[in-house]
Amino acid sequence: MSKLKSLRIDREFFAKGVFGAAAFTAVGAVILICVFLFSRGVPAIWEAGIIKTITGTQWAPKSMIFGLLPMIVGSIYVTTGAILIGVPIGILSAVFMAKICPKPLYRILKPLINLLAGIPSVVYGFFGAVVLVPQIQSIFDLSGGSTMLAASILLGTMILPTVITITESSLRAVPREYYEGAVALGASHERAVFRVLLPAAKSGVMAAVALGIGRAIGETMAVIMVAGNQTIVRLPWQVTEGVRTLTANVVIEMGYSSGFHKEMLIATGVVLFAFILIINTVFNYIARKGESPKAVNKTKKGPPTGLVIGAIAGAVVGLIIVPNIGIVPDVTETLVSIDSITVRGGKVIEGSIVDAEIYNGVIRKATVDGKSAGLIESLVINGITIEGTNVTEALSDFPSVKDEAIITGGAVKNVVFHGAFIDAIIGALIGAVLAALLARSMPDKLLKVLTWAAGGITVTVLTFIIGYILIKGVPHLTPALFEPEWNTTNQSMLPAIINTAAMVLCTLLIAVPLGVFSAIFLVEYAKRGNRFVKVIRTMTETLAGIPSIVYGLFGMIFFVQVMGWGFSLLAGAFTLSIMVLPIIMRTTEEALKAVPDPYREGAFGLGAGRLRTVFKIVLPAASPGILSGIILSVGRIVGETAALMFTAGLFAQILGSPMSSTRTLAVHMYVLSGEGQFRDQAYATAVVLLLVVITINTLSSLIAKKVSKA
Amino acid sequence: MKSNLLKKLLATFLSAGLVFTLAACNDEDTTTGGGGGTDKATTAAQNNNTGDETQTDDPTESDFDLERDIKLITRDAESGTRGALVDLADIKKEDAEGKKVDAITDEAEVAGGTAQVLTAVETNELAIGYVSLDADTKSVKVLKIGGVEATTANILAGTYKLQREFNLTRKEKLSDAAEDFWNFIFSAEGQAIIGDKLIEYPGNKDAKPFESNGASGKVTVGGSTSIQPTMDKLVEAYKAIGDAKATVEVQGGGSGPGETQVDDGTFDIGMVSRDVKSEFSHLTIRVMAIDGIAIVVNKSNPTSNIELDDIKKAYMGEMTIWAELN
Repeated sequence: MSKLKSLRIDREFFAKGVFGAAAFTAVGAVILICVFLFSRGVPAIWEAGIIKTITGTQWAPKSMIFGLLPMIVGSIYVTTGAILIGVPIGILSAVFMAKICPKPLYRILKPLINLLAGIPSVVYGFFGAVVLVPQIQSIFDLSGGSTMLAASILLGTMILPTVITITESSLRAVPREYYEGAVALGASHERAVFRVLLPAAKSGVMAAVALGIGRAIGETMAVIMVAGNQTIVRLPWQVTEGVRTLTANVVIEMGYSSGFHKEMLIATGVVLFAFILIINTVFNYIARKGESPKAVNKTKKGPPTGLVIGAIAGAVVGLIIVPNIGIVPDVTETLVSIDSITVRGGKVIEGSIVDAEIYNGVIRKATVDGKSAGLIESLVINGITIEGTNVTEALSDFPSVKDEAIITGGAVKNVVFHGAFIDAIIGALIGAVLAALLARSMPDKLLKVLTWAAGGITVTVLTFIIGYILIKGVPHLTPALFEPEWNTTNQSMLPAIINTAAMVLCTLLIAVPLGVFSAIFLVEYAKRGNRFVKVIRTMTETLAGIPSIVYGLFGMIFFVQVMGWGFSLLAGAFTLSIMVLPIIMRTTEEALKAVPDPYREGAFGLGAGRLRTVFKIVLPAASPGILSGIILSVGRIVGETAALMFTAGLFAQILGSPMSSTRTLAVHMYVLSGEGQFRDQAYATAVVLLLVVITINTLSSLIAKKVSKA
Repeated sequence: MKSNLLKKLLATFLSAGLVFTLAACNDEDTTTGGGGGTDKATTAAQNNNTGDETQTDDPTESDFDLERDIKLITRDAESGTRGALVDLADIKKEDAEGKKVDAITDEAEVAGGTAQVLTAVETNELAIGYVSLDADTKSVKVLKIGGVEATTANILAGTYKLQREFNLTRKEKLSDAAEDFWNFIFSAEGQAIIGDKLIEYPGNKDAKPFESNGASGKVTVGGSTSIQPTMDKLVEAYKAIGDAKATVEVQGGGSGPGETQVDDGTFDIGMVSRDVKSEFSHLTIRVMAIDGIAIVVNKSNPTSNIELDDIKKAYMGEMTIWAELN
């Protein structure tokens, strides 16, 4: 008897060790990434000057000027935009799915959301470039639609599945009694959901938002297709201008770079990484403040979280919108009047009615009474005729003339003070107050309408994207695309499909045991509030926020170069394992937490050890949740491009060994589209990618059903 | 209770309405220059009747508004195609140290690759871009340069000015297998395949028929994705030869790795679609083929010809509306 007992204790001890070790891989991975990225990027930043790099407004690699400010603000704007669009819709959709929508609808909606998660970002990018960008161009009457706005909308859509899935599962994890209690006290269904369940699920919702931010700030392939990628520092309200994000900077330039330029691109990755660290720290701080028992009393004194978040969001929206209407006019200083202008065709126009825009000291276009006056050939100022339209030259007597001088009413004026800045402040205030009022007193009926609307938007967007891919791709699905051997004429995707399967398998083999064991350690073994648990949590959240492009850079430096594996399946799979590890850990953790404690108590009461309880009782009960995490991971693996391009290479044949270079389906599609010769095949490949995702999702939901029945 | 609800609903709709009006007003701010932006939708909305004030080249295409902005599409700073265009059209200015540098305006939209340039031009009638002639340009319109059409004959004759060389790099010493594949590329058979897709480099004209040395082993080729499609064709043809035994793996990576990874030994042969940087001049470099660069616009654009100097002015931001190019 005692022997048996000691054996069991040994086993328990051993298991705890294994789980603990698994939990520490996240820590190890973060340390490795830091060491290898920083050792390459930081010296480069040092050499270029830290302040100069971060505040430099110009990026001109050929002249050895490396200012990252345009990309830093670009990333911030685009991510903020994505959050403003994606998070409210995502959370409302999650509420809709978990608590409001009818069961039959849910059965369609859930697989659709999983599908949305599985669509590779390259496909989103295509869709954005061909559908969204032209739409934005025509709605706002621009010369090109690749703008901050386009990127924000596209990213907002892309983070939907992440936000929805995690919010939904954490909503479902809230004990039933909370809801029943609220209803018993007379709250309506909507009120109970929004005022009781949602706040109770706060930690999960926060995690969803944090992951959403991570996805948005780290997205690469889709963003470069719609953002315009200009390296110019924009102002927050210039939403109809193009921006370049940090990620785009790396992917666009990495292929051609060498020497110090390449080091500076790795440095771009480091800056991105630093960003993620800051964001995570902030989120952790907020989460900890909300969770600690002392804070419970405190929060009652302060304003409710919903109010604060609403006010901030409102402020941001106001800040973006109001300067675009222009309430406060620019303060200008009149420099000189224009006597007349002559436009092409010899037509002379009296100066006092001319308006014009100046860009880089050159008059772009003149308008008279709001109509285009045509191309300017010469202008007369103070009786002197100036050929051409160069204003800086024409006004050389006025050294104070800046590039942004404007011409209105026939006078050249310097902009002394931008009304837009005051507009921004006014907008922020109005927005904050309005949103806070709304957040405080949102009527139940409106809440219900909003959740239905959010659900509707999600379904519409999804159907639209899928329909688009099918229409573009299905006609080009030919048998030649499935020949066993790839060559330049058939562009067969069969090898890529097999390679993708190998990549998924290999990655899951590494990541699933690690992720699940880590979660088991965190939930079932570690004591709450343990310091190591905190470290592990922080590291996992850090990992979750690291963009795939940074993983790609790290994989390239560590697995490909330092470990000497070259472009290979193994290098790709290891890189991806670290990438999906936090997803599996997070979802498993949430799923384990959702298993009611009486299950465990029952098992213990019947004499089962902790290990047996975990494997026989808790894990089976949590398996649907764990599977949903695995589905999300498979989706990311199948859809990943940025991280694989730098680690697994582009070899298009069926892989020979784990050490050979491998091209997965998503990478294959990117390559096909990359040089502009095989776009039809690229669409056909996208259809197959979609089918693969549908198959994986169906399979895993079937498994989930079986498991939950047993 | 009920009136309270009504009040709240009203407030909500009012604020929602406000938001939408704001969005709708958006394109009116630019005429005053107050939006803070300089490069905006500008006065396009008011430009409806420009036809009577400027002469249009092609009256049948009159619905194309020549007074509208040119949307420049460019590539990243180190792209081989961009570098070649900048050199050939002299899109350069002097920097602080008096060095001539790339002067393509920052306002130009940067596309991540050839396909993205094509997509941007295909979907935007105001756009202009440049791509390798090797790319599939049937969805867009290729402009003549100074009246010369972009054809193989004109490139070889030198009358079509926008052309560049594709380079291959290697170390002096190669494995026998890699040497065998290298010899194949520059053999008569290899050059014939290159001639199918690109333009044969005149310096490689006297290539001899290929004789394999029969060596087996793995050969890794990597680098420019612009050259990769042709390289894939070469590998296929090489495999079809009976006594050639080397296995060739073609990987991408971009022109940069085409230099660095040859230097560090990861690749046996590197592909570089621009001039090889001076710090890698210790590698063996050989011109593989010639490629043309096509200036492309949207199919609905009436423009059919562009002067080399106008390409420069447009890309430097000195010409900003289509009327100036016509």
